[in-house]
Amino acid sequence: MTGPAMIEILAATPLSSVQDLGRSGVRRYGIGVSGAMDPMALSAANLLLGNERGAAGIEITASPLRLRFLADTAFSLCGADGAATLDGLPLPPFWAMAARAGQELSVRAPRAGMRAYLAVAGGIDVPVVMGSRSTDLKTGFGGHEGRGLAAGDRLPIGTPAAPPRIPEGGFGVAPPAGMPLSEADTTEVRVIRAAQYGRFPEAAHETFWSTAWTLRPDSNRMGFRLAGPALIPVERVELLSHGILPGVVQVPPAGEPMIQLNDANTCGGYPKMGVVIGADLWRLGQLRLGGGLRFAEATREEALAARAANEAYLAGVSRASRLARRV
Amino acid sequence: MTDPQSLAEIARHMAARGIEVLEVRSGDRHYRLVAEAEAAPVAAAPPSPPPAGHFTKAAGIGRLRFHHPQRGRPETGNGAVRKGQVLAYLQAGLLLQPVLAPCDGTIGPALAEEGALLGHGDKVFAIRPG
Repeated sequence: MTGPAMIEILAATPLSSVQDLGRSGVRRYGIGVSGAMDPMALSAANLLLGNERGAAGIEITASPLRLRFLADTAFSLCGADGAATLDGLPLPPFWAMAARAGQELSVRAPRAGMRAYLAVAGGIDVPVVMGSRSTDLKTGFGGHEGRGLAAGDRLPIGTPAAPPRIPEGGFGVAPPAGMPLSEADTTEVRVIRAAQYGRFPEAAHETFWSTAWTLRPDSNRMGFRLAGPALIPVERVELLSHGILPGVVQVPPAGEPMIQLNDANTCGGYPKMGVVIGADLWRLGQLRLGGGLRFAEATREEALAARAANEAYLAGVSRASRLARRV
Repeated sequence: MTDPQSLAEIARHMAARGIEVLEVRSGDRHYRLVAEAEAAPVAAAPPSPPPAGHFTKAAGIGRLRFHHPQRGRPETGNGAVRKGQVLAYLQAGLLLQPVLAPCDGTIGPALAEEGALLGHGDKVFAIRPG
């Protein structure tokens, strides 16, 4: 072996990038979190292979991706079903598989859901920048050369602690409950009231909770803009800029809410109607442009229970994969 | 291990660990303990005399699923299959193990029902090679 094991990108769009679970602890420098928009799918993909759940993988966003493995390895695909094939052989979603050097993996744009995640045994071994391998697409650093992927890119693969033993034909796990199964599915996320909730009249509250919002096409990893009725506060709200987190639902003066997400600025000054609970952010990561979205009010306790349920699912994925890999 | 007390003990351990099926082979004896959490056919025997040709066989233990929980259609498509292709799944809890085509060919009717509990070597489909 003359160098690290590699995968070579044969075709990709700039919407696809190297992501892990994000860059925490540096927001005070104005550095956003980045990271997988569907952290459940990336975590599951890693756990299928016996990786750390936060190992870097490739986020494949609503577009095709083809790559060639330049070394024998194992990989997994979770999240939206991109009807993947390995040398033409169809692969199910939420699936782990062995690959030989020279084999070609092809993933298509999904028909339901928005993002698929590719993990490889040992993880994508791009340099760690400020504690993370995630691509910060807004600022242009981290990941692979700080940008989305393109044909010709070669990505190094880390060395797994123990090469996973993948049975013939591979194995998989059932997706988490709530994974969109058709293009027409409406996504529901749970929301906790935020600081300026009381600055809006009751009619705006009613509208916020009852509307089937539509994801506008100018939405991206920075934030989601929602089309629907306007939410107007009782009187104009002027706030100094303050720190914001992914999941914050802001209401700009025009009244259509927007949700700040992984590549958002670290602070903002619009009034906040609510915050999508952390446990449901992955559902936003699978929401398609033009897709329907509803907000359901939740308490802090319900948010913690939802997080525990996500953890229980991932623990189950880990158990199932150890059983299949006989470790 | 076949007295009621031992069986109850084993069943308790199976329930605690989420185990649906336990198979024990000892000499010419063969035990299969099944936790009946949901109503589903347990019989794995082919409903009709097996046609000639190749068979896809279960390579694990689980409940037969003809389509992936994320997909609305069965995997078998138009009937033409490729060696190594996933034709169905055996589900045990979250785990999905593939039922694989043993050769290129055309798939015949299913020899077990959706939800049937299958074990190692149970036949799932007949395949006409070609």
